[in-house]
Amino acid sequence: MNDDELRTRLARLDPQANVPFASLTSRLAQDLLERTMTSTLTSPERPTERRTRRLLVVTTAAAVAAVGVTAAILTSQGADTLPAQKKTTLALTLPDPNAMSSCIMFDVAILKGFPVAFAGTVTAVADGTVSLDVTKWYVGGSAQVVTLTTPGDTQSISLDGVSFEKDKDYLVTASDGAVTSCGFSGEASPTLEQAFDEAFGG
Amino acid sequence: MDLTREQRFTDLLGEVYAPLQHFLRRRTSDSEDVLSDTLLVLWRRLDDVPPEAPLPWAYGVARGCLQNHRRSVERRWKLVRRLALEPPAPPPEEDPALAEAFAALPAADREVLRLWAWEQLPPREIAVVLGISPNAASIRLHRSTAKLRKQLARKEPPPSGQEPGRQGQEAPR
Repeated sequence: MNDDELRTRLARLDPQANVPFASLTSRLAQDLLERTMTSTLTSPERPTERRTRRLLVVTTAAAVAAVGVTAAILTSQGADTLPAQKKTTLALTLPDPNAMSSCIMFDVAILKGFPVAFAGTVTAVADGTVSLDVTKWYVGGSAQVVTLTTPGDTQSISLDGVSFEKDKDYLVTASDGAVTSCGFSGEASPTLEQAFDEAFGG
Repeated sequence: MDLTREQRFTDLLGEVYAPLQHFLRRRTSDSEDVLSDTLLVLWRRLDDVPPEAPLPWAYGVARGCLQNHRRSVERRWKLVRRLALEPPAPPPEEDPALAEAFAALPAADREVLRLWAWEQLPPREIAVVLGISPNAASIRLHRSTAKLRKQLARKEPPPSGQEPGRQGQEAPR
């Protein structure tokens, strides 16, 4: 049996040999096309990204302003009278762990596009909320504490299937008030730290 | 939105959308999710698509998304991961001996053979998909076809009259 014969014989085992596919003009394909081309995950130099970035800047500015206002109020109360737990706080939501989501490949260029990024240590995990003391702001904020709230009535508070644990360090990015998953946020590791340094300039 | 870019993307999909569906369905039961991821990467990296080999390049992107998806599934649903990770099996009733021989090969050999016989790619395009040199792709393909022949020989006796030692001599095209 020569190679052509082997190839032909093997081709007959192709489970997709006679299976029809969705045409590019189908509704399914057109919807997918539209979703893709209006995606926010395009690289920074793309025209659509500029529009997205403006939106993100507005969102971030609002978040920073909110933190700023909180800080101003707290400061006006006087540092001496400030209760220890009254730190400036930024609230973010976690992606629903029960939702079937699809991931895009990890890429520093994408990481770079997220408007909020910080490093923090988990101080408490309770009642569907994770609290982190921020150890470093890479971009998009100045709050001392960030709370991550899990949507719905989910029992475990996790990201990419990994539960948050007290006293552990995490690197987190967020966009539109929501933590980004798919490896763009997670427990601190030398690899992730290096990616954050590369993306946000340390 | 940049209409030129949109048009370029639509043109690219005209070439790769249908083959990508088959490529992914051959390898995962979650092909729609991975297809969506793949298109996103193609859209983002539109300027990187090599004009001389858009389809193999798109297969390479799909392969990366597939691996990423598998890792993600593995993390999230460890208990049921096999259900989602197992690609659809070839129909054994078509050619049971060859199907068994194919199934007995290591994953890397099966992938090279799929690209060759199912996606119908020549070695230089298999090289683009796998991110290796054309020479390395030729060598891999040669080894994989040799392994397949060896497995097949165990499943079925060679046809009468065939000269011994001729199998696997010709380099695959």
